[in-house]
Amino acid sequence: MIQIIHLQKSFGKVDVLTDVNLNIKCGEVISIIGPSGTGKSTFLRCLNLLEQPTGGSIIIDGQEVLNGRVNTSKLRQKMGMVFQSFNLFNHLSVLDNVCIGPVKLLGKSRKEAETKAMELLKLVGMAEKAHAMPDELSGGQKQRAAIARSLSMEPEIILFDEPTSALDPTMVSEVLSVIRALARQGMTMAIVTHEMSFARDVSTRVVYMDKGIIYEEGTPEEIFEHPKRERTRVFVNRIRDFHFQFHSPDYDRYLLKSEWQAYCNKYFLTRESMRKAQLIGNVLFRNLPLAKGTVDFYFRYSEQTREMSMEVLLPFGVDPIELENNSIIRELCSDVDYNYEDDRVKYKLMLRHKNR
Amino acid sequence: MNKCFHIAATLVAFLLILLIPAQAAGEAESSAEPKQKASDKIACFEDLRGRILAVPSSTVQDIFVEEHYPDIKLDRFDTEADMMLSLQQEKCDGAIMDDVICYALVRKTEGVTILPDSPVPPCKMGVVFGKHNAELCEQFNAFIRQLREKGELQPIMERWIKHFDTAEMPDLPLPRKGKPIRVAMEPCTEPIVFIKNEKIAGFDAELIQRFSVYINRPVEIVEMEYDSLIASTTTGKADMAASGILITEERAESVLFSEPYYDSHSRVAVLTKNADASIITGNEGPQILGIWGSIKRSFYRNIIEERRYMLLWDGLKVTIHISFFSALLGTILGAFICYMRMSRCKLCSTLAKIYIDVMRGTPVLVLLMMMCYVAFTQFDNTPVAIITFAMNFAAYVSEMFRTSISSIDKGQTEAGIALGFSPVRTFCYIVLPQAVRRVLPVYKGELISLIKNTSIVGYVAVADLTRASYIIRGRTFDPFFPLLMVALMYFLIAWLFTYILDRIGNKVC
Repeated sequence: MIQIIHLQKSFGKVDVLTDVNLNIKCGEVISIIGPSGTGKSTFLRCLNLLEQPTGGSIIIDGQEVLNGRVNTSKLRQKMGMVFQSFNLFNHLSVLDNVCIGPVKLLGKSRKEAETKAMELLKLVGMAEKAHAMPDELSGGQKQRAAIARSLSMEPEIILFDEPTSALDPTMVSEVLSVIRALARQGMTMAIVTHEMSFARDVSTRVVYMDKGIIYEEGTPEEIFEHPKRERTRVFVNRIRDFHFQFHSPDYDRYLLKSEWQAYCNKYFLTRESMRKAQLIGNVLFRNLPLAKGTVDFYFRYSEQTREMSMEVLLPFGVDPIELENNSIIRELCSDVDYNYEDDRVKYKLMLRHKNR
Repeated sequence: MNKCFHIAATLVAFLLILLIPAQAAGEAESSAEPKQKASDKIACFEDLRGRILAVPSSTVQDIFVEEHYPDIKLDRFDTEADMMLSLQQEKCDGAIMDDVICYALVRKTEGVTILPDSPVPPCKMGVVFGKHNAELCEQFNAFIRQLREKGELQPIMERWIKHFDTAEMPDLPLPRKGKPIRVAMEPCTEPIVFIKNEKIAGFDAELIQRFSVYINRPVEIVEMEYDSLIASTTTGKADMAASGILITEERAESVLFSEPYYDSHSRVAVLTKNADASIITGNEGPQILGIWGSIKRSFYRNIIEERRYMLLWDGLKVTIHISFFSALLGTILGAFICYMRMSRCKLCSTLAKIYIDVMRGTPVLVLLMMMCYVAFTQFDNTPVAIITFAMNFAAYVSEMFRTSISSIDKGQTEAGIALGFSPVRTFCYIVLPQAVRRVLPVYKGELISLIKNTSIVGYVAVADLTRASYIIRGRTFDPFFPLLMVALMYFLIAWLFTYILDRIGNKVC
């Protein structure tokens, strides 16, 4: 139905989308996930030309839409859009919000449009609030009204741009269940979302975007259970990095300590995990050749699986250090490994995990 | 019902607030303790030394007294009526002015006496012509000489100066054909030029009529502020100007003066109670009227007598006309400027910004004068004034429009576009109704200030409401009542306009 080929978009000198290729087929529910600022929303907005792409092509039903010969308004009528900030028309009641499109654009009679609108509002559970003004609604209600509004134009696809990001947690589920219901009815949808479990159950395909490209795509299972590529793994397992750089043996211990403390607090590391990490750290830092140049230290913690690992990058040309034989490390780590990366020696320590 | 009551209550409160100072001033006249002791009574001009004297600003009197009597403190005024008011309120001890005006004023004002002497040398009155109108000036001179030879000039003067209450304009067969001579006049000075029974009268007016018959050309009177009279002959707004203009060397440098037709002496008016008994000539003391009595008398004198309400009515129509069309045109222009200001085209938005800055940074009066006397001299002043006010109004409202439009969040525009509306339709259906609702309260305020601003059109000879009040004041020398009436009428116009705006606003949103 929609074919996106080498899509590019840049704002001034900043390239947001470098090369996006995607096929969306009728009836598919595609979740687009990825870190913030990687162009997910921009990609969605390029699809219905709210942003004019700077390169590539979008082919809808065999027709190229970026050549300027297409009536973009007509195109957008077939492509509903639901925004993060709802964007209801504040001067119109919920019912009027849903009716304005069909009346002014599809040329329906007021009565016909209202009947249809009430049906849609029932579908999203907002029939009771049909005559309320947007100001009187909660965030979740607003978003459901906005979904009804986009459905009013009888679109062939609906684009959801982070539909639950502006909602407080109690209201997220009401919106997600409406979207779920639509998915069951076979509506074609593209959803940019940060709700991983939702993306996992609702979508037929998951697209992981990173740094302006589609980094990995596959079924929800492939992406969430067995991500093939590194950054996807970091993202879906919500791996958090702690990084410290040693320049000399007289490094600033207090800085290290306070940064570590802040990191632990931020990601709610348990006391137990902290203690383990500190023990290994003590052994590690004692053995590191700190006088020989810059040493990079990483601590990684997955919020998803609670796995912890450490990584040390030794300076260029230093011999490997002996770690496997240390009793503390043997006890606390399940795996110690090293390899060469760009001429630097890289150590990787996997911490033992309770559940495994 | 509730609304009616509200309006009525507002009006009553408004009237009371306005009446209190008027009445207080009236009372002050009778109740104030005499400042001077009996020995300080004023008998001649010399007695004014060390006191305060009201003078018409930058006139012969002003210059002369300042030069020769440095120990007299001068208070400068624009109109004789204001000087008289100041005298009555005892803010000054004397008021010096041309004798013709002084006689008329004193006759109408209670408790005022004229001093027998004045050191200011007599001055000659003449009619002003633009330098390019030398031919017309010659014709006028010939006409004056002829009048003088026939001995007709003196009786005309005496009739107006001595018997101005009863003097009427002669019934002359006025010529109707031919190119009219445009004569600039300020009809606020009795008995020189003033409005009587809705018609122009006074000895300058009679002279001009007789001149019209003499050269057999019709006359078109252009009413304007005194300050604009002389300038109007050089810019071509008028062919000649007459309103008791005194001949000075300074003025003669830029315009032509006719032969003098009257020697004007200066006279000083003082309060009777401060005047020495020797100079008081049968002028009875102030008549004591009650509060209702004085209001009734003021009402009769300022509104009913000589059908002066017609002046107010005509002025009201002009004010409404100018206000309405400037608001309409200004709003359209403002929308256009706002469009330019918000456009992506750098040049457009810069131009709009410059326009807004210039318009907001310059006084509208200066702009009005420039438009009428420099830019569009050949056009009628009313439409030029409307355009000027519209231009000024546009600058202010365009910024209001801009802020209210940009206060509607971009998301709604995007939602409209995403729904399939074109950008223009999105603006019309979604942004505009909300923007209008937000801009309305500030817009109303700006509209009211526009209505009040139109009161300066008097400067360019448009007879609006304020001008009407000046004309009436020039006749009755009543300091407050005409102003009060006019204030009330402005209030009503503003109320009417905002009421209509509210109705429209309710319909749109």
